[in-house]
Amino acid sequence: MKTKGQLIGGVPVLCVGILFTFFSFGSAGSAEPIVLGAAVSLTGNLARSGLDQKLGYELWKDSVNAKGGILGRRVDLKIYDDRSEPMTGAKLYEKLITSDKVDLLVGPYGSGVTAAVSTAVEKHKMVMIAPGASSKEIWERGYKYVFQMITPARYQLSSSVEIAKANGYKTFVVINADSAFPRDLAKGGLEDIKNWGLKLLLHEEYPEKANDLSSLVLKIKAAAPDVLIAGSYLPDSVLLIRQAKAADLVPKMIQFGPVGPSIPDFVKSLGDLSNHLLGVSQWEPSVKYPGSPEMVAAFKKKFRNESADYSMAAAYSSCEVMRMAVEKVGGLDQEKLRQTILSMDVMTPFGRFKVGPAGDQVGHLTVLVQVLNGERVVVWPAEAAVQKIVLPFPGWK
Amino acid sequence: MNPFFLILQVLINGLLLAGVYGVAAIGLNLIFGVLRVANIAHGDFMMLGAFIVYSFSTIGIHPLIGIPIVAGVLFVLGIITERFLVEKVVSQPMAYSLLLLYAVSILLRNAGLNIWTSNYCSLDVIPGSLHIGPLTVSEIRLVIFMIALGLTLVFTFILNRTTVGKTIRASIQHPDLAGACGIDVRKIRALTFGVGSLLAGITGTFFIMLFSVNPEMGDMMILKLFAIVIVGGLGNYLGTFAGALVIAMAETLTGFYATTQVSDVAVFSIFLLSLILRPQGLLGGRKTR
Repeated sequence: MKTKGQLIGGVPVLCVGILFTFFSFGSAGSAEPIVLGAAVSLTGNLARSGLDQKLGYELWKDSVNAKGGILGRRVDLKIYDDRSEPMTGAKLYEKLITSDKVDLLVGPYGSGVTAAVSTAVEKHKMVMIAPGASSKEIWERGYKYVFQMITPARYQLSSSVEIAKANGYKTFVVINADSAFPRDLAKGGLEDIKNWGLKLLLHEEYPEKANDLSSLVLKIKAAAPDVLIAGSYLPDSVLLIRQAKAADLVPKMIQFGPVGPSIPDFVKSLGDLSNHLLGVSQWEPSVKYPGSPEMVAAFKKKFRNESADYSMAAAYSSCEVMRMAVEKVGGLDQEKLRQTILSMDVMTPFGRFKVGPAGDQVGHLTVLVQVLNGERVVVWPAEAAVQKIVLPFPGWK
Repeated sequence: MNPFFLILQVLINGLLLAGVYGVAAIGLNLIFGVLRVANIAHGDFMMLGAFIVYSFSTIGIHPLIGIPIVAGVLFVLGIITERFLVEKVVSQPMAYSLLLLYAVSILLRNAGLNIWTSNYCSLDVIPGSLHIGPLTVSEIRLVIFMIALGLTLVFTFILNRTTVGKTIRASIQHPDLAGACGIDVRKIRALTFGVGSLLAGITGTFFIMLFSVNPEMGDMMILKLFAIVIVGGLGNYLGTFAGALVIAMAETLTGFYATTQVSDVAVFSIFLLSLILRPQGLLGGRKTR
């Protein structure tokens, strides 16, 4: 029930409002900007990827402002450094929400920091799209406002198993280092193998810091699988390949997770031995998703001497998803944004975006990367492929 | 593959690995025998050898040519370490030398991390393998095994047949008496530490050619080396090879028949068992002191 006093009080506000609208008519720049907030790791052990993510946010801000902003309003960024510490990250997101009063939130880098941050964000019922977390636990806590951008570890090998099956390969050996991420990755691969009705000959874990895998290699050779899948880090990947070569282990397909052929150092340290090995990647600069080539071109122009990385692309695209949602809603109401994002199925420069009811990513596909003539090349899916996949593995040089 | 050849293949892998472990372990055991210090920096001397050869290879010196250079550098470094550091505490209780060498270990490791970063490195020297029927033997492992065997023969000869060797053995058996007979025990100590470090350095070069390692490699190796020395018998340098063989075989066999994860369990169970059952070592030499 409104009183007379309140009505009278409203009049000057209305006048100012009309005046404001009048002066700002037609120009995006002078309206109150929409502020997008995030804290990423700019120092500490996650700094490298955190920085890539920041570049993605900055690149997106420039591109969206060049196109007239969102809802006719300019976009500003508020980015802090979480020092790669989960607790610092959580505090900074509290600050972004309560004292900076940002309008929209995008996520930090890393599953650890994202897990801590998501609790703070959920408490304030703010929507956050997280481009740097592949852990599935974050989305198993019943949170409603946190959305995943990248393919979780569970599904990262799905495309590889599918390709293997399509090529008529039926028997698998899966090995993985005995730490959290490779284990999750392998577990996903094992489930896929089972679900697709394929045969697992051997699954074995090895110590993350093993200096000799020759016994394991021999065991794989004795099992003689069509496909070898390895969930590994860099040193053990290199070791595995060198010892596989020494033992003359030649399966029809050798598949790594996201560490391996997908990272330049792997190819550098193995040279010719890395040819025809397969890896998965969240995103590669050569993919042809809508807006991706433009994003890469703009990235090269803005940040000279930097190579576009998946963290950058995921960060950029999480902002894109946010933009689409805001434009669809026509405002910044967090509850409506949440509902909208849940129902979205869109393509971004990073690939498909579609989340499950828990907010976990179910639409995004990893791309398969193969080393061909010493170059890392995207070979799958078809719409992203630069060259055709070479199978079966032709053997060591 | 036929199960017979399979087990043969596993045994061959174990034997080749034993050769590599043996060279480092004999260095460690020599130092223990003469100086009565447990050189816990031994693994870090290995690391130096590995990464010096790595640095040389980046400026175009072939790793196999790098091995003698590493041997020279590590020999000198070992002598300097003994003369200026270990010598000061050699007659003190063992805790002194243990702490001192722990400091040396930390120093070397962190210097290594600063110079070469914590990235894993490896050198692909001879990438081929020999095929003998259904068996496959990696050529580099074979070459390294040959070098290791050669080194062992040379050191056995030096220790048993030359004057220097005899003075070293005399110093192991009875340092005071050796001193009374006119042997410069101080000089022998420095020489032994130099030779021990040289052997560690050479093993390091093997490691970087066989595996992929970073400057923290000493950490994982040192315990295994002590296990080998204890299993073989402290101060018993021939037993060391038996120890290396047992440990390498245990590692390879459990890796194949169980998993690589339990290899270390097997290695250290054997270590414990041998401490309980044969504290004097496998070859059962009489206890020195």
